[in-house]
Amino acid sequence: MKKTALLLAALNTVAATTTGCAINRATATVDPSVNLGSLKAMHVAKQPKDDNGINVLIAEKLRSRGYSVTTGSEKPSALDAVVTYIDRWRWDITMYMLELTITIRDPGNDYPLASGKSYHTSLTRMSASEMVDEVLNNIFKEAGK
Amino acid sequence: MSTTLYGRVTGILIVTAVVGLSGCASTATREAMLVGAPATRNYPYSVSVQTRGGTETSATTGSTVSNEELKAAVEGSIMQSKLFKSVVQGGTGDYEITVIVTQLTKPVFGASFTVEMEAGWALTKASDKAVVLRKVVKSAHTATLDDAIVGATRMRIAVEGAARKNIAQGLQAIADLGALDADARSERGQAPAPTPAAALTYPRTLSGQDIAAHFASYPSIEARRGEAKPTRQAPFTLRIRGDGTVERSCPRCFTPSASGSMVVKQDDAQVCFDWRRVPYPASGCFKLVQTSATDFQMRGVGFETVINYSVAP
Repeated sequence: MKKTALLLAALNTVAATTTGCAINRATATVDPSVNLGSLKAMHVAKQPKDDNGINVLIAEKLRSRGYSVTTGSEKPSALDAVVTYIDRWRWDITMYMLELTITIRDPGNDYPLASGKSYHTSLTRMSASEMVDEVLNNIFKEAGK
Repeated sequence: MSTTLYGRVTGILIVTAVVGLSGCASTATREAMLVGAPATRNYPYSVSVQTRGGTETSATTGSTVSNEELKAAVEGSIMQSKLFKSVVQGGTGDYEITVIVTQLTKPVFGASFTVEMEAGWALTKASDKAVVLRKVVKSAHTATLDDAIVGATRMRIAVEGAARKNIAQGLQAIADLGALDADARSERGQAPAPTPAAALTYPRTLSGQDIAAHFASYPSIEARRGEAKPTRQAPFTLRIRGDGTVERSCPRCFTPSASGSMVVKQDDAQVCFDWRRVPYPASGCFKLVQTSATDFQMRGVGFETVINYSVAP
């Protein structure tokens, strides 16, 4: 009986300490009728609560892929797509980005042309720049299929 | 004594281990996401459905919507509503519906769980891949302690409700298309059908599903008091947010800005407002009546003042 109790106590300790510590998810979805290569001008809409300049990181990564990209709160009139994002942060010794979702939308009706999401918990945390890279790489990889 | 104590501790640990390791979140089911209301149109075409962006439920994700269950729910809803003649598999139909889940926002804890869902709905014609519809559909559903005491069950109910409303709005958007009808009639050698607006008779009271789709299409409304002298009509702007909150801007009112909540009671075909700290417009439930192609009236089910507004054709 005592051995069983000790075994279960150990099992609980393992479950409590390991669950949720190293989880990675990275997914991307692209509308099959959309050709991301045909887009030229994009605008990364800055999230009002973003103090980490994620919009600038996304804009830089898109520029490096050959797109003409603006960013900020004001949206230019002539656009092929608007890029929105949601960043979720957590604290574990230091702040880290838990999840990043990037969506490329039709500027006319906000329809999601493509969307990608990465989720990394504390033990496999990545820098904001790496998270942006991973999400965009997955979107364009999915689009190139 | 010692044996009894160990027995109790072991029992508690077994329960803790089972709950901790197996997780208690369950996936949203196709049955709970089904929309059964008959569609306002019946297209004489076959359609296939593909879903993307869904995730499998696990102990770490909590209750979510999987692609498989969402696809089955959309297909089942099409069959029940008879929106299309038949549902086929593998993209071999006349048309193809693509549903892409882009956001499923869930609270971490609370007594009431409000889940918000955003999905892109696309309808393409299979023969030439022409895009007939592209629309972003946002929906939200709140599950309370009345729905379930257990948090995981309450969360699943909220997720299923948000998905069900999303499917209802998505299919309604497809039913509202005129192009498919014209296409079908021309293929049968018939004259073009009259426009949907001309085919309707007024006044008509909107169903719960119609009300939800209507406010999803018109999130900003210029309204005014209906039964008053023109000088006392106090025009106001009603802004409907995706999270179930509403804002009212009324420059001529004593309190120019106000906020509150809005709920569409689909079963009762009513829209209910709860305004904070302002008497105008009245808090309460309304029937939505369309009086012409572009004019609408919110008629209180109690003593609420009638509200009139128009939308762009």
